[in-house]
Amino acid sequence: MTKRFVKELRERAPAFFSRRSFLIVALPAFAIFYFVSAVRIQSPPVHLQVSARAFPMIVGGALLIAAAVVAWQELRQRKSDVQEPEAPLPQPLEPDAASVEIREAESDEEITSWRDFWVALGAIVAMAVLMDDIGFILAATALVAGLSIYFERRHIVRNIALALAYAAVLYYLFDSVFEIFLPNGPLPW
Amino acid sequence: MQIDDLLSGFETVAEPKYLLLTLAGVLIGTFVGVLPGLGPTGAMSILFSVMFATGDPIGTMILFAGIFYGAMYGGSTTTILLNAPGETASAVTALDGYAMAKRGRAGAALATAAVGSFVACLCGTIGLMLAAEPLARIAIRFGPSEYFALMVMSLMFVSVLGGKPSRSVFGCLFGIAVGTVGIDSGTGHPRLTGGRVELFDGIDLVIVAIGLFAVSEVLIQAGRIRGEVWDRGAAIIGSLYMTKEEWRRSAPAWLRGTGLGFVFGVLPGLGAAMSAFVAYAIERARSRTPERFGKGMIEGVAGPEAANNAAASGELVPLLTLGIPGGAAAAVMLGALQGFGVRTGPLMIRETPEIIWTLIASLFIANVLLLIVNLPLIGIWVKVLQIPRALLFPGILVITTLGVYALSFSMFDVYLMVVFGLVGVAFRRCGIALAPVLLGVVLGPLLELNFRRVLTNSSGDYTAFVDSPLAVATLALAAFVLAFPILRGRIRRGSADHPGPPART
Repeated sequence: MTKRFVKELRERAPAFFSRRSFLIVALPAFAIFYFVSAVRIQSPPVHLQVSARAFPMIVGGALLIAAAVVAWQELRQRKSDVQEPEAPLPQPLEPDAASVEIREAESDEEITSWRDFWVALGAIVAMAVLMDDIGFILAATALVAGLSIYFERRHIVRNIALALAYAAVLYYLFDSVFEIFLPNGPLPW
Repeated sequence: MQIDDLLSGFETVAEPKYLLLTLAGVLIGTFVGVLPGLGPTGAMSILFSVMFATGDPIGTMILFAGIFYGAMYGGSTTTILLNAPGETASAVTALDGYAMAKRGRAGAALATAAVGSFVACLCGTIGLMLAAEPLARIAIRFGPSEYFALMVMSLMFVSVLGGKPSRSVFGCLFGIAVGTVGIDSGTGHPRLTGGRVELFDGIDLVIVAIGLFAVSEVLIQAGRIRGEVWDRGAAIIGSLYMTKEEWRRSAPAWLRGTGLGFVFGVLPGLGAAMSAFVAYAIERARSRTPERFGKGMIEGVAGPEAANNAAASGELVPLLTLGIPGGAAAAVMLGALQGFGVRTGPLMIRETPEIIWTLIASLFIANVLLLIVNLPLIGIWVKVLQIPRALLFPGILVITTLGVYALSFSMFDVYLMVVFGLVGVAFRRCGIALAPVLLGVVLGPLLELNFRRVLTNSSGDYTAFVDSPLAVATLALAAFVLAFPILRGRIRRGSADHPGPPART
C-alpha cells in the first residue's frame, strides 16, 4: 500500500507542483501570510502619525489583490484550455515596426531533470552546513568535484585537481588579498 | 561647473588603482557577459562584499560601471559566434549576427558590434554628463509626495513593461514586502523578523540579488545540463575588418540605435533588451530589402548593439540624478552606494560630486578600453566558453556562497540566499520577471520613507499624496501604465471580433 501511495504521489506531484498550481495556490498563500503578519506587527504604545504596520498593511493588501488577479487569470486560462484544445504554439514573433514584444522563452526555464536540480540544491546546502566545520577549501572542493563527477563521469582526476586548485586560489584571494577571513576547518593554516 | 567637475573626475580616475579597477571591471564584465549563469547583476552583487571591505565607494562604482558596460559587449560575442546570447539584451543580435558568422563574416559582425558599442557608449556617456546637472536641479524641487509618485511610476514601468504585467506587479510587491523586514526606522521596533536577530538589519540586497539571479540560473541550468547539447566549437572568426560598404551601412544604424537606446535607458523599465528589439524593427522597416533581414544584414547587428549599449548609459541617468534605478544592475549600484552611507537621490550630485563625476569619467575610459582590449581578446573569450558546464556551474555556486558569506560571516545569510534561489526558480518558471523584484527591494524602504514623510508633514492627511500637479500627473501616468495592458487586450479583442471591411484587390 505504501508503494502504491508513493507511486500515486509521484504521478500527481508534477501536476501539483505545476506552474499553474503555484500561481493559483502559492502566490495567494504568501499574500495572506504576509498580510496577516503585517496586521500582527506590534507598535510601541506611543502615538505616531504612521505606525510600524501601516505601510506593510498597504503592501499586504496590494499583494492580495495582485495574487487574486493572477489566480483569476490562471483559472480563466485553465477553463478555456479545458473547453478548447490547446492551439499549436504560435510561430516566433518577428519584430516589426508596428509592435514589438519581448517574448519570454518559457522553454528556457524548463528543467529536464529534477533529480539533477535537487542534487545541485542539496550540494549547496551541504556546503553551507559543513563549511564552518571542515573549512572553505575542503567544502568547496567537495562541492565542485562532487557535482562535476555527478554530471560528467569522465576526467575524474582532472576535475578533482581543478576543484582543489580553484578552491585554494579563491581562499588565498579572499583570505590574504582581500582580508576576508574564511573558515580553515582542520587544515593547519 | 560641469567641465571642471569632469576634469577633476578624470584626474581621479587617472590614479593607477582606479585605472586598474576600470580595466578589471571591463574584463570581468566581458567575462560574465560571455558566460551564461552569472550576468552583471550577479557579478556586482558577489563583488560588493569584497569592495565593501575596501571602504571605497568611488572604486566600487568604477568597477561596477566597467562590469555593466563590459557585460553588454561580452553578450554580443557569444551571440554572434555561437547563437547563444550571454545577455538578454543581445538576443536580437543573434538573428543576423549568427547568420553573418555562418557566412564567414563573423569578424565583421564582431567589429560592427564593437565599434557600435563604442559609439553608443561614448554618446550615451556624453548624454549622461549633459543631462545630470539639469535633471538634478529640477529634481531638488521634488518634495516627498513627488518623490513617492515618481517611485511608484518607476516601479509600474518596470513591472508592466518588463514582462507579464499582473505577475510582474506581484513580483514587485514581493520585493517591497521583503524590504519591510527588519527594524522599522520610524519606531525602532522589529518587524516580520520571526524573532531572528539576523533579520533585525533587514535582508541585504546582495543576498536577494545573488539568490534570485545567480543561484536560480545555476540551479535551472543544472536541471538542464544533460538535456542539452552545448555547442562549444568556435566559429571561424575570419578577418576583423569591415569593408567600406559595411562601414557605410553600419554608421547610420549606430547613430539611430544610439538615440533610441539612450531614451529607452533613461525611462525606467524599458531598458536595453527592449531598445535592441525596437532598433532591429526600425532597421528592418527602413531597409529596401527587409526580406534579407535574418540572413546576415549588418544593420541588424549594428543598430541593436548600439541601442543596448546606449541604453546602459541611459539607465545611469535616473540612478545618478534621482536615485531611482532603471534596471536590476542599476539597482545593485544604488544598493552599493546606500551600503557606503551615501545619501542617494537628487542631492547626490551636489553632496558627493566626486563620486558622480569620477564615475562618468571612468565610463569614457572604460569605453575606450573595451574597444582596445576586447577585440584582440576575442579568441580568449571563445576559449572561456569551452569550460565544461559540469565545472562551470558548481564553480559559480561556490563563488556565490563566498560572496554572501563575506557580507557578515553568517551561514544564515547563505541559507537565505538558497531560499531566494528557490524563489527565483519558481518565479522564472511562472513568468514572474526578477528585475521588478529587485527594484522593489531597493526602492521599498525609500518608498516607505517618503510615505511617512508625506503623512507626517500633513498630519495624517492622505490627500497630501496628490497635493501637487506633478505628483498627480505622475500617479496618473503610473495608473495608465498599469491599465495599458488591459486596454490593449480589449482593443485587440475588439478588432478580432470586428475585423472591418475586406481590402479591395
